[in-house]
Amino acid sequence: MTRAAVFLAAILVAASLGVVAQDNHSTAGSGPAAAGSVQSSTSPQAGNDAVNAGSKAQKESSEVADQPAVPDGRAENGQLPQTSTMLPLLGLIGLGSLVAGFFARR
Amino acid sequence: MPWRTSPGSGKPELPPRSHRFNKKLISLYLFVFGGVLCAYVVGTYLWMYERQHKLLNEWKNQNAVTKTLTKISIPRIQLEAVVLEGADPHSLLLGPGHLVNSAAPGSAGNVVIAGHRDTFFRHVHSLRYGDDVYLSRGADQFHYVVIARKIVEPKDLSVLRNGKYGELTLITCYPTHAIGPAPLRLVVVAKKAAEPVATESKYLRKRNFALFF
Repeated sequence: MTRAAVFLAAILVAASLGVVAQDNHSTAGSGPAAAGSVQSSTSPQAGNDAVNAGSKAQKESSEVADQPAVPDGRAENGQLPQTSTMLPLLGLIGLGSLVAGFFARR
Repeated sequence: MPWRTSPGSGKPELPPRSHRFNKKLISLYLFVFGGVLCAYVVGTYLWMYERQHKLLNEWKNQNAVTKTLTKISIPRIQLEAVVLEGADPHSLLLGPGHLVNSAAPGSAGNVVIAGHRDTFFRHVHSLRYGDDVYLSRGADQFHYVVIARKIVEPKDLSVLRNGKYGELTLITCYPTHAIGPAPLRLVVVAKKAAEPVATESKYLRKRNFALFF
């Protein structure tokens, strides 16, 4: 019983910490990038059209070597894209919870 | 927890009813909580791979003239994925994301592609000097060769600079196998296969890249 309660408390604390940390991290780097997200995610073709359209302009990029590419809202925000998710953390917490539930049942 | 035996009878003494009820309740709560979390994670991964699979099929069936979708292939890590436009969280969930306003694949500038370390770019850390990276769009295929890598702070935007030659920059989170938010970024640089390596190496050294091996 006590073991199960400790397990439960630990899982909840870990979950809260993970979620808070992830939120803080993503809000630091988010912002204007979200504006383009709907278009790009719902219709990647349309997004890639933008790449095609931009290709002419990029042919001149040899002239602007060493200039920042200013590639995203995130870059403008002074951050490289956030490329980690909280899914593995959530999965781990879920598995831990299942195991704790199993032990609590015994 | 072993049950106590009642004196004289030798039979195990059951815990109080409320105790058993609490135990069942906690157990049930943990099972439900864990089950929901696991289902959410598995469901998200399945949805992600299903969408990416659909995009790959679209890429295969697309008209060679329209050339709308771009695919990245890295044979060494057996990666084959359609690149989405933009590096916002939603795009990155579905596939690697091409950073808006960075150079278009195959052009002279710096093509920047970011991907999640726990999905599509999981094995990017194992890329070595000379490994091939292909970007395909319609009938065009652009060949890049890995030449350098660097671990940087998220605020270090120097890796996004345009090079003199065609360059491909892959960005993912670092440490690769950590769980939770990533404090650093792993940057792998590849150059277009036709470009002279020596000049490019000198250029990258100037930008503090650790050239491979």
